[in-house]
Amino acid sequence: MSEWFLGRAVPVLALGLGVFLATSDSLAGNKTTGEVTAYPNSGFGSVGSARNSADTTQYIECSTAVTPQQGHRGFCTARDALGTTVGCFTFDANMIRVMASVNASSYISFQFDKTTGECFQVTVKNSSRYPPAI
Amino acid sequence: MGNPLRLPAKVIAAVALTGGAFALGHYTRLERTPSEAPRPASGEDRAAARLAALERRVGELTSAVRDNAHTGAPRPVTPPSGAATPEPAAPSDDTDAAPTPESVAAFDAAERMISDAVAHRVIWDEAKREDLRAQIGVLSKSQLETVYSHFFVALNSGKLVASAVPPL
Repeated sequence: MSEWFLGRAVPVLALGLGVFLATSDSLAGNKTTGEVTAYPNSGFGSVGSARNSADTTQYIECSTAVTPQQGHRGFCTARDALGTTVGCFTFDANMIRVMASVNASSYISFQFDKTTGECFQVTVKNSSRYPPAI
Repeated sequence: MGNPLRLPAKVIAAVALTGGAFALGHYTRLERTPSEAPRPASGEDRAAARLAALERRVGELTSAVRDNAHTGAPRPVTPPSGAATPEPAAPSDDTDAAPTPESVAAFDAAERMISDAVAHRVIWDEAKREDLRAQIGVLSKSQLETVYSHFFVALNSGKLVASAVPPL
């Protein structure tokens, strides 16, 4: 009985378990990617997708800083896979707070005034749907 | 009855187990489905809740205006007992230092760096950024804003080729 169990039943059970794990949704979840896109008045994409992309060109980032003399300021910059780079700056405290919330799983989107280079909209989405930067 | 197709016992067992596993997976997914999820609020419920919140807010504002009318000043905010002493407010971003001869010279140098990069199609790289960093430390806020504007307008129009951004 024991010999039969080890010799025949265990491999079959292992096969069944393997098929179950491979076909079940236990490791699934809603996922999406966000390659970096640079338009004449906006840039967007996900940090993880850019970081994990096959090319070595694209990136998207936001940076913030403060000094006593010049106050708070922030940038967001995006470069797509073709090398087109766009970016904007802001001295607006609310937009700077949004920029500072970027993390490795963020999706960033920003729009700017072409005549001044100033950001007028910054969106940061922190979601399980976006791949983390590895 | 037996095994009319004469299939090996291993094959039959594998098919049976796989079928069972699918059924089990399906069952566990069904189990996870919340069958008694709270009923989503209807449009009427949401509107009523919003109205109630607005009424409360109007009440608070009216009360605050009435209080301030007596004193002519905003009510002092009393921290809750035991609360930590609030940190001193950060310097306001609205204030701007007056330009100095030093800041004017640095501003001219910074503007020239960007203009030269555009005119000569020089790639704005990390070295350029560090050169600019040496200039911007003494700039007033409005001067810095002008430098950033110059840089990003040139970048976004494709006139400036950059592998780096200006220093923050």
